[in-house]
Amino acid sequence: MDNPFREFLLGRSSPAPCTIVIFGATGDLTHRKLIPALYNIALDGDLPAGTRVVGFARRPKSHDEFRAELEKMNREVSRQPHNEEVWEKFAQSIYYHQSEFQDESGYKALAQFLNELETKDGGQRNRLFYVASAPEFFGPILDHLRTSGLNKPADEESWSRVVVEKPFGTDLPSAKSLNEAVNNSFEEEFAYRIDHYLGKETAQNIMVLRFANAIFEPLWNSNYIDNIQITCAETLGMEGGRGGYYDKAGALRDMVQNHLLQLLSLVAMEPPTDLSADGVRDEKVKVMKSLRRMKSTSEVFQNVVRGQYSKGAINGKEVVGYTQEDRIPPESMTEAYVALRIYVDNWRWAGVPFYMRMGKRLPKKTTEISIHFKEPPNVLFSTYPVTSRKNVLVIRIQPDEGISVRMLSKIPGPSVRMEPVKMDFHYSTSFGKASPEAYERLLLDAMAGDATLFARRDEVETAWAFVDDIERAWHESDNPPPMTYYPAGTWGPSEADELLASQGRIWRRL
Amino acid sequence: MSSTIPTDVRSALDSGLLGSPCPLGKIDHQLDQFFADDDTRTRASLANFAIYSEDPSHLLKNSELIREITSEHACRAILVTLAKDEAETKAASWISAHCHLDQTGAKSVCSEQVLFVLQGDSSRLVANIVLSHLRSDLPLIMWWQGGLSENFDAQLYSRIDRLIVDSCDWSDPSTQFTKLRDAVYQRGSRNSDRGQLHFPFHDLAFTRGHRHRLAIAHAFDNPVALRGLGSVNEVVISHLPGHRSVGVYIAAWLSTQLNAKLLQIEGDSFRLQGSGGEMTIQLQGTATEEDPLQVVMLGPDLKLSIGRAENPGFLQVHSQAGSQDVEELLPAPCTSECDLVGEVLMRGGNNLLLSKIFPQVLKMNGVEPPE
Repeated sequence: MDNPFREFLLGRSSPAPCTIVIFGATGDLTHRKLIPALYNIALDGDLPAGTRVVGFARRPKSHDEFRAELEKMNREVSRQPHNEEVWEKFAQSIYYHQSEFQDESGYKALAQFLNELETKDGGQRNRLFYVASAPEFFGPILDHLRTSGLNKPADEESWSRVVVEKPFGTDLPSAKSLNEAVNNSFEEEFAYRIDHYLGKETAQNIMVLRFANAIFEPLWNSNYIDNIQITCAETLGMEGGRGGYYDKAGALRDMVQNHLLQLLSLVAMEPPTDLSADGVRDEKVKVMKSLRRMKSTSEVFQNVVRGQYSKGAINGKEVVGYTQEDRIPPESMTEAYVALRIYVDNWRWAGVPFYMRMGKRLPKKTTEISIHFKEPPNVLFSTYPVTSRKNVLVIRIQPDEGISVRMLSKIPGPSVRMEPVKMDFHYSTSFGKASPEAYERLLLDAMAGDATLFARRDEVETAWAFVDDIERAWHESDNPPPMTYYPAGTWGPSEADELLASQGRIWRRL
Repeated sequence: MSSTIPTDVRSALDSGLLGSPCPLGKIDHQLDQFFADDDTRTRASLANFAIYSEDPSHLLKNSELIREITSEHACRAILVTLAKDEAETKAASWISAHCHLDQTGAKSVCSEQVLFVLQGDSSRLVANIVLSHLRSDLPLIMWWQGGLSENFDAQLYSRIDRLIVDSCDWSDPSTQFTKLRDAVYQRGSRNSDRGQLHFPFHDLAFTRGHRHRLAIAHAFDNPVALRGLGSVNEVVISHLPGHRSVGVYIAAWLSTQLNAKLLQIEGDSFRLQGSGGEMTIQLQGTATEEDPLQVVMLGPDLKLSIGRAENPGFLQVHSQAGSQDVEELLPAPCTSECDLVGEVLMRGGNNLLLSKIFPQVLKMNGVEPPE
């Protein structure tokens, strides 16, 4: 029986109460993102009654100790102010379960604990297993969920789902293996692979911009677009001890394989037939499958630049080079910067280069997508001098979220002189309230069974196949493309500029 | 209600507190000048937001409301105040801006305010004044304070993109709801056009019950409570004195969603027939400012009560169904007029729920709904 009072009250799927079991409960993600997200959902009144959290980790801890640690961090990082009364009620449904990830008896004990909690409180027995542990434990956790029976719904009216964090594998074989492990334990419709970029308001706005407005879609193709640039720039280096993890991954695997290819697929996709999870993801997968693979080392050499930052300065402060960072071996060949020229070989995008770059220790932190339109026909104003004739549509993902369009305008005066001007929309001046954090949206969607903002198995594997070609050229060929270098605080190596200059283009100045 | 300009308002107008006087024909020009003079100000607007009042004593309060509202909703604010009983016939305007720091704290984001005071016979120029001072390409959202007078005519409301009223302010709800019905339902020659809303409207009396509706819906997300819903035979809604409309909207919502047919109205009591049998909804004007709206739903298998918690920012929801006895806190920030209007401005388009229950609201106010 449906709740008749829910009609028209929610603009989204209704989340169901569940027990969220977090593997990796003592980790940074749980403290800084997951629990504050759930708290803010509770503060907004959207957390279904009866929702519980059980943290699963190896260190011994009582329920109260765990709650106290979470409260301390929540006070620091919560999007909305910490409210004692709401936290008190929320914290009463947080529990801690100690076990090693590889200990089968720990999962059996967890099953018993969940049964006790659910029987005591009554209500639905839905379970959401959130795998937020270190990646090497993903497989064992999934296996043990299966062998302990926790992968199956507790009864006919309940469900059991799994959410898996990135990194989702380190290459195609490991991703396939992990997918097999996921699907051995959970059917694909109950598996949710997190890519938190998809939870960002600005990423969700790409589909609205394209498909809820009539003016853009007729131009959104190779007839009118010259090139598309996707940039993810960070000022950070290896602070916080992240060198140990990062050096095993690199920019291509850490950011391009997931977040940036997801943004590319949103920009390049065909309109879906409907807004169902698979309706949208089917179109995104088609983009991934249309990416021109770089099968040979020479293709990688021509279309990809990898780099490391050397000593330089960020915001006036001197910083060391990548190989001098903490936990980075001096001989490391891991890229902290990558620039790619990608082609989507389909009717819409034939011949349009997608330039993508991601780098650490660049001058500013920004993520944006810029659509560069072709120049107008060489007829009317072609003889008049102007800095650039191309119209550019910019989607700023973060910070200063918004959209702008650059166009030419006549400068007032007796002669015809033109300069580019900008039409600008900023979230900060248009929408007063701050948006929920990405994890709040994603957790609610997982509880509601809406997988639209989660990566599907085939999306992940196709993206890995594309990335693996490049990794093979870098690390397995006899004559790999060289590592390039750039001073920290500059916009990357000159070879990345040449990637565009060779085709008569330049990176958009940010 | 006197429709002359009170002394304090006149002083505020003369002293510049409500803006700089500006000839009617030069408003846009002088506003452009205001922003051109200072680079640090960003002119921002997503809508034309007009507040109309026939009570000049509300002018200071409305200007303050605009200041608060624009901190989160950038707009061109148009305040129209009628002073019909003033001897001199005159239309005058003042311009100002409400500036706030944006989320980053870096920019000063300003919403323009244009104030019109229409005295004497010029009060019939409302539509002309409002419609000629809109920012182009932006929707017109109009908050009509008080009853819908003769100035609420087709020339004006045919151009409104969204109407806000507050039926709690109506001394004669039956007459006012009739006028509202005639305005918002399209009267076309094609049958398919009948019964369709001509433009979206929002009643703040309906918005006042928003958090209680969410709380009720939340309570029945619990399957055990949901099983007891069919047995509910009595609902008691306690509202503030003078806020009967708030209670009516809750009653109309409950009965519409339960597909319950209205059988009889006896004063503040509604007798209905639902799928589970007869049900009575009783309104009581006994609530207090500390707890302005309470809803109790009773049946053999269920008791649900919702009211303000001790912590005033929350509602206490107490549900007893089957063997379960559940108490919860749900957020319900205290709602000023600014908050209520802000809630409306956050929405896009038509309020589908209000559209659905409005025919029942009309019936409960003794007004025939459209065919």
